[in-house]
Amino acid sequence: MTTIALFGAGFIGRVHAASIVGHPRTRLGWVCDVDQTAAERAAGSTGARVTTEPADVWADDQVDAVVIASSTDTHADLLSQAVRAGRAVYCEKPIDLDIDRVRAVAAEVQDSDVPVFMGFSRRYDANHAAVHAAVTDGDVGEVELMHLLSRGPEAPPVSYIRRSGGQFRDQTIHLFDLASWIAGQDPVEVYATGAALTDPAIADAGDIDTSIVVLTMPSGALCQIDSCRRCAYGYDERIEVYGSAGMIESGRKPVREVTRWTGDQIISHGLHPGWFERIEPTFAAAFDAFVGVVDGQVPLYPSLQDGLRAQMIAEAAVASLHAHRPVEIAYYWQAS
Amino acid sequence: MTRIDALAHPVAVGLIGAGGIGAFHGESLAHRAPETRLVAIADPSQAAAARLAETTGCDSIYDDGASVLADDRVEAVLIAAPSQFHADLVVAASKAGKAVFCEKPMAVTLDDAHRAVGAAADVPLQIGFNRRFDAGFRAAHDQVVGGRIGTPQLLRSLTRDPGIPDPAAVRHSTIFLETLIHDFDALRYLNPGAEAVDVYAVADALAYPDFADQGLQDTAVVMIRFDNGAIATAEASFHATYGYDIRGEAFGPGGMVTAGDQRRTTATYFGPEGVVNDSWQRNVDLFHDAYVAQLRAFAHCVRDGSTPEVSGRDAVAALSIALAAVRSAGEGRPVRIDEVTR
Repeated sequence: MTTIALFGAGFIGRVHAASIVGHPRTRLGWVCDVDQTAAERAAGSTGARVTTEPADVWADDQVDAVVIASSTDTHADLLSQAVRAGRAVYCEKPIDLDIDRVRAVAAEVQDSDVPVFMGFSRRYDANHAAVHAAVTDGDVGEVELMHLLSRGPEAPPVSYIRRSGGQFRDQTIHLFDLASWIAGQDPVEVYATGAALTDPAIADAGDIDTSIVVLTMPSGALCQIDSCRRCAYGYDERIEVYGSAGMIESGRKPVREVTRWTGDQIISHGLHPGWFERIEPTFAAAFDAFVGVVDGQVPLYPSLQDGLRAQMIAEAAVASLHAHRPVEIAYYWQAS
Repeated sequence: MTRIDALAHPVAVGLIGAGGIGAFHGESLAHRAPETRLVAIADPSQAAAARLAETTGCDSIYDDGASVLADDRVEAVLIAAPSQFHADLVVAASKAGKAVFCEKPMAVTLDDAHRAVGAAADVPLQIGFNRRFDAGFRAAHDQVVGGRIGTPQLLRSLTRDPGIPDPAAVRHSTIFLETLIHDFDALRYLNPGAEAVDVYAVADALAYPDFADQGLQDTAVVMIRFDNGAIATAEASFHATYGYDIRGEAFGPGGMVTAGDQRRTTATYFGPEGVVNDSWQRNVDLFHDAYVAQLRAFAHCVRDGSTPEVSGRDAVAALSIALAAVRSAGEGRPVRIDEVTR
């Protein structure tokens, strides 16, 4: 039995708690949150110990691994502490909004042999994983064009947007990771354009809500990514990969396959009402992979390096957006 | 009443250019559109002209456009010659008092485009942006006009051709001026009333990399910002190995509307390897009805004096985007439309 300590008892923390409790090879040993009441609520009747102090967790030799799902500004420190304490980590994105901080932590992780699993759980979406496998197997030949999208359904509160790092670091970053993973390449150039088209308050907060980004891969393949915070037809996520031997798609997922024929229209059930509902199965799937990594049974992906790569792409996209010109992406894996 | 007029009195059309799409147009004029008759064919290749004359029952073959224009029986011309001749032919046909249907692109320089539009001020002028006459694209456009999605915010248009027989013969910038020109018009069609403000384009030879050195561009992505805030992607590839793929999409606060489907018929096979549909392989099959519908609409305009719905102004707007895209791809920077139009 692998004992897991959970940092963060908020919404995503509770999702992870359920994965930990539900997994046959793990038990929830601790819930740590600055809010004692929230921690107790998340621990519920699991028998997990509750604390507001990370030190209590590190002092417990029974803890094998940790999940970091606390507020963004605590991720880097907790990750550092976990690595020094020799505990494997599943860390929610982002590591930190300051990319140099991310590089510093990545260097610490690199120097140790502690597995750090990046919370880009969409790699564990069954459809996206199937597309990745097919592309890697050569089913579409040489990749030439890609299109990824993430839309809606509603923008998060402006208070969240102000501390999120912006649309590229918060929303599109998942697609930056998926694009490089599926293409098997690190993009060399980015051009981004976007605006706040749905809510002027988002512009006031210095962010955008609608964007298109074009990534150029070293092979010349062109990847277009569009993101939008609001979508009237549910949460939409889709991946299309076109190459020399054909095209493959990870398609829109309807909530259920129910179709009505009435009058002069045919109406099929729509998409999920929210991004969480759409990606919900990926949390348990990603956590299961993490457990496999801790047990030494499966290869680790996505890694902290993957998180750093996606964030470097996001930084370049932000630069392109503001400079209104294409930006070459230079990958600096070490802190400056 | 005007419909009966065009049906009762089909418009006599002279075809200039009997190769490629010209031959298909000739057959449409003769057989598929009741409102038109094919009365003359001109092509420097008399063999091509004769072949088409035989299949269409047309009895007048010429080897140059001027002869078609001098033929008093001809009321309208359909220009399907190579692109570099289009503008001059539009001007000459207009001066001869003929109504003009011109295949895209109407011109490849803005000077020529303005010259052509100016000359055609007093005759019906329609441009061959056939996508507008496809049932799906038209219905999508109508839904946008009807407000179903609200003001468009994100748009997409793509053209993927199954392959080019001779990559060496494809000139630099063709992908923008002759292929994506359809998509630039389609984006304006799905975002009606708005005009492009700036453009960023990337192009490469990915499908036929051996021809990169001679300047072939077979894959291109163009990002366009419109004056109503919408942002769009237009994309083209010359080597879709799975068939002919043309799609459009408009997304706004009220939802999204898409058009285009790769499935050739409604016949669907369910088998152990999955659910299988055959895909379109040729543009004249995929857009068969659109190719004919545009000619029928043109004929009605000739008879009733109404202005064709896709005309010189649309050709100029699409060309402006294309020229900005050419410059952008060449210089690796975004280009404002007003840089190329002033």
